[in-house]
Amino acid sequence: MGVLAAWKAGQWLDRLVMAFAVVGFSVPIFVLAYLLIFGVSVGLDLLPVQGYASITDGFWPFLERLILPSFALGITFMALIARITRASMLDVLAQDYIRTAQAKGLAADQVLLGHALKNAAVPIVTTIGIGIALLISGVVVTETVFAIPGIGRLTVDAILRRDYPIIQGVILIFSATYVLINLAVDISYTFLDPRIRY
Amino acid sequence: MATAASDTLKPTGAAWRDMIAGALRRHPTMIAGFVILGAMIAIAILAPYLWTIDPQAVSPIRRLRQPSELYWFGTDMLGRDIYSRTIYGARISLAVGLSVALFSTLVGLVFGLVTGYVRLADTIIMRVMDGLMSIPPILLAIALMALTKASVENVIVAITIAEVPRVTRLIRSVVLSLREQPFVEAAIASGTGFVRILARHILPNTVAPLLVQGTYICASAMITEAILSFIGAGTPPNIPSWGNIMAEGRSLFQIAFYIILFPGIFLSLTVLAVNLVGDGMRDALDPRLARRM
Repeated sequence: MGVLAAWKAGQWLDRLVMAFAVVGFSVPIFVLAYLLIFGVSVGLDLLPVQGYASITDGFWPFLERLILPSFALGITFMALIARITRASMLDVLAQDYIRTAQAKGLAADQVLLGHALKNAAVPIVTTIGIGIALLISGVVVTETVFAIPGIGRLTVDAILRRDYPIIQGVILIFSATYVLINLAVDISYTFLDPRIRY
Repeated sequence: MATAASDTLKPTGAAWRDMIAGALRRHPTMIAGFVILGAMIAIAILAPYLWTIDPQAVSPIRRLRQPSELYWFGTDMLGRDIYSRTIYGARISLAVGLSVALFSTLVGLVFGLVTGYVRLADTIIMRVMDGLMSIPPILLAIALMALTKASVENVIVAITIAEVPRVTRLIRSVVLSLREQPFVEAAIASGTGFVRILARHILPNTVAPLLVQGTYICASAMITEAILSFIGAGTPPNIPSWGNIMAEGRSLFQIAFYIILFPGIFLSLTVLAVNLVGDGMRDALDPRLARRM
C-alpha cells in the first residue's frame, strides 16, 4: 500500500491510503477489536465472537477463531508500515537512477518493485523491527479481548494477581524476543544494502 | 476569518505568527486536529457544566439502560451514567497525555544535552537507555505499574520512564550533529563558556524536533494509558478514565456495546487529532524530520 501511495503521490489513491494510515494508527487496538466483533460476529454472525480452539479440534475451528484477532492486531502495524514505506519510497523515487530505469523503458512495476522498493527497504525493515514492540503490546490487549489463552493473557492475569515471578518471566521472554528480532533486522541490512558492513 | 486573523496579526509584526498562520493554511488537516483537540480540552475543563451528573453516582435500579434522552450514552451495570463518565474521563486522558509529553521531553532533553556533549556521561547514560529500550514501552509501563499501586500519578511516571529513552536518543543525535556545525565552533573559538553554548546555540535548535516528538508522545501516552486501564493495571477503578469505562464494559459488550463504543470514539478522535497536529507540525517545522520518523 505504501508503494502504491508513493507511486500515485498526491492523487486520490495516495490520499486514501494515508487517511487509512493516520486513522489506523490512532484507533486503539481494543476499540478496533470490539468494533470488529460487533460488526462481523454479532451483526453479521459470520465468525465466532471469542475463544480459542486447539488445532487438534480441526483446522477450520482453529483458523476461524484467529481471523478477527489477527485482523485487529494487524491494522495498526499495517498503518505504520504503509506510512514509512511511502515516505521511504518518495525519497528513492526522486533519485536519478529511477529516472534512468524509466528512461530505458522498464515497466512501471519493474521500476517500483525491482529498483525503488529494494533501495527503500532499509528504513522499512527498521520500522518492522521497532514495530514488533507494537505487536507485543497488541498481543496482550488482543488476547484479553478475544479470550485467547496465550502469553498476553497470562501477562494480564499475572498483573491482576500481583504474581511477580510470572510478570518477570514474561517480560524477560518478550524483551529477549524483541532484542533478537532487532538483531536479525540489523543483520539483514547487509543483505539489503551491500555497502553496510559490520 | 483567515483574512481577519492575519490583518489583526500583521500590526504586531510577529514573524512567528505569520509562519504559524501560513502553516495552518497549507495544512488543513492540522486545523482539524487543533479544532478537535481544542474541543476535547474544553470538554475536559467544562465537564461539570455539560449537563453531567456525578460520574460515580450509582443507581442500581437504572442499570444497563440503553442510550436514551435521559441517559445519552446509556448506563453501566451499576447504573452510572456513561455520558458523565466519558466527559469526566477526558480529564484523565488529556492530563496523562499532556503531562507525559511534558515530563518525558524535559527529562529527555536534559539527558540528551548531557549525553550529546559530555563523552563520559554519554557512555554511562546511553547504556542505561539501551537497556530500557530493549523492553517494549508498554510492557515496561505494565511492569512498573505492577510494582506500584494504581494511581494517576504512577501511570504518568510509568509511561514517562518508558518514553524517556526515545527522546534522549533523538536529542542526542541532534546535539551530536549540531556540535560539528561552524557556528558552534565559532562560539568555542570566541571563548564562549560551555553552559552558554548549550543554552544559546544548541538548545534553541532542539525545540523543533522536541515539539514534534512531544506531540507523538502525547498521542501514544493516551493510548498506553487506555491500554493499562483496560487490562486493569492503570488508573484505579474509582476514577473514570476512558480505558476504565471500556474495561468495565468488557464482560457486557454483547448486551451493552455502547459502554465500549462511546469512550472508544472519544479516545480515537482525540488521538487522531493529536496525530494530525503532530504531522502538520512535522511538515511545517522540519521536512527532513519526516524521514527519521
